[in-house]
Amino acid sequence: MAYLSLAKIRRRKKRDGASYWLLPLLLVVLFIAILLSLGIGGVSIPPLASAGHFLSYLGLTHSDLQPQEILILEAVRLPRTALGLAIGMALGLSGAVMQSLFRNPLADPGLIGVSSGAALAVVCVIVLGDSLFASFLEATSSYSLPLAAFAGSLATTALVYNLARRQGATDVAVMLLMGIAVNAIVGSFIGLLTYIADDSELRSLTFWSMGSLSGAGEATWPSIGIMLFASLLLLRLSGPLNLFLLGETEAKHLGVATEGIKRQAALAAACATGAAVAAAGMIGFIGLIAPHLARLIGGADNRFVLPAAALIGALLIILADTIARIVVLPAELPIGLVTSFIGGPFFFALLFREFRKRRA
Amino acid sequence: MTLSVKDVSVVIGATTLLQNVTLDLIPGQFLGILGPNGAGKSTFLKVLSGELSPSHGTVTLDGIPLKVWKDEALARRRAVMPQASQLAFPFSARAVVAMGRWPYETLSSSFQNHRVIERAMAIADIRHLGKRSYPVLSGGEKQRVQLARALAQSFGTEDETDSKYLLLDEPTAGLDIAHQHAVLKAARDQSKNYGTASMAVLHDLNQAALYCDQVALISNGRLVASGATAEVMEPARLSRIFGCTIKRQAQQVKEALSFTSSL
Repeated sequence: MAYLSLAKIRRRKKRDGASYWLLPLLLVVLFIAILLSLGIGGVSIPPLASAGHFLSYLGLTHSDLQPQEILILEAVRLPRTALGLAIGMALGLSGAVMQSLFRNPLADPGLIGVSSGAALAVVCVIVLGDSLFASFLEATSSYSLPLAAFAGSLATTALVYNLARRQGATDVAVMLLMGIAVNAIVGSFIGLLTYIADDSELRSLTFWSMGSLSGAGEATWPSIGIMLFASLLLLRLSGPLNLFLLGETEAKHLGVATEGIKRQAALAAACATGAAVAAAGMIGFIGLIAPHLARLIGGADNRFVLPAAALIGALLIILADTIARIVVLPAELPIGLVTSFIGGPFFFALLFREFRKRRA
Repeated sequence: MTLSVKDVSVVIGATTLLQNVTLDLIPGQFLGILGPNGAGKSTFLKVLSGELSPSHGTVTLDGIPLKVWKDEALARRRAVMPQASQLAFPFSARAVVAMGRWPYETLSSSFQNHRVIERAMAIADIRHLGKRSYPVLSGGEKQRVQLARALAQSFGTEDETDSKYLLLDEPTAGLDIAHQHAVLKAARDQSKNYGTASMAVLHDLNQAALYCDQVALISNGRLVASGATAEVMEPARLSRIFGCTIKRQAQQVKEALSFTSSL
């Protein structure tokens, strides 16, 4: 009898528990996607050959690649892939965390204007940096863009969070309208700055407003570091963030130090988004799509959703970047265009579902 | 060993929501809070739960001010069932109940957690809803899930000796009559069997008379009377507070009091 009931409990626990087993599966899919993406481009490298090449460093296999292929793989594609992974992870996680923080499934760093805030700060530093922020640039050197992006995203998060809140919950309409307002303001500023920018500044403006991974390399290492650090911080908050979904008061009654968690989550998410924008410009919709796909496959428990959103975000960026690189060979599309192209209809579908639910 | 409110006033802006209220929640007793709309009942509950700090006076648990308590330690002593809780994400009803075990994450085995959750769900009569998604439940079903969550929190662990406090904010609102009785019985059983100090904001005089050991009457932010149910619930006093005629008759069957009201 005792054995029977124990077995029953174990079975039930498995059924109730989050679908953690999907995480290793996602990891495997991500690895396959990375190998495929590394092989696709002007010079194509078979996925198995590049896998063999990497394993040769461990002395497990023998590398069959030509020196030229190795150069393309290691100097061009690998840094790009690494940057893409960090950005996808950071954006997916930030989206999942912001949705929990706002208690609202439609929150996304791009939609609510956090990415735009970061981009505006970056663009200001690029165009006006020499004349207005010279001492700032000097003092911060290679960290100046990530820092500016961080300040921009943090300021926007604080603004939207405080203005869209009514009695502990955020009002969807207000939040999205705030995002529209912020995006419009940023758009006009970027337009203005485009008008006064010179040629080289203009190119980097396009880069920042449409997003691209082509800046991958040493210059983006500080940003990658910040994204990894912020992501680790965010992952640690998954348990308390679950209780946040019940409501801030309820979370406090259950023993969560809500003010501290809120501050940590908002800071780390702003940090991650800011660093992503600083390294690759505005890449929209990843923060919206990744958490939704995670919930779709494994339920709403944040202890699953957060790591899954990080993996799915990384996967989406790798896929989008591969598409961006190959559709207009030998040139490449800005990756932000690709994600918006896919994300826009996805957002539509989400809105429709929300409205249907509300009518039912 | 009590949750004590001493000379508490709450003033927000120019409005006084509570004025000089002094009351103890006694372990083993089920206290009903009665009073007209806007009298300050929910404010009083917020003060007790620590959600609202009083403008004047002190709230202490075991002699220590609530503000000094760590959120997590406090969560192991008192549970709150809110009036309404919205959740926009598709958690199962059982997962919501399981959130009540958060304060015991490191103290309680998963086997014990499982048993406590099952028991709480049985009491709230939601075992058949376990796998359903919380957002699509009806209002009354959501209320019962919240009750189970609060119960799972107040069950604590087996080797605890500290008294628990269970605060219910209008727990019967939106429930059918059978489940109204079930909720009140659950609160009374917690007090009787486990020495919990339960407290509920109620509107039905007969239910208060039937289930509560103690009653506190609040009107215009003041504590009008508190003490044993039969003594506090004087028809004249009730009529004055609620502004309508309330009569009392002793029921022969169960020795409980029953009230009729009219304008």
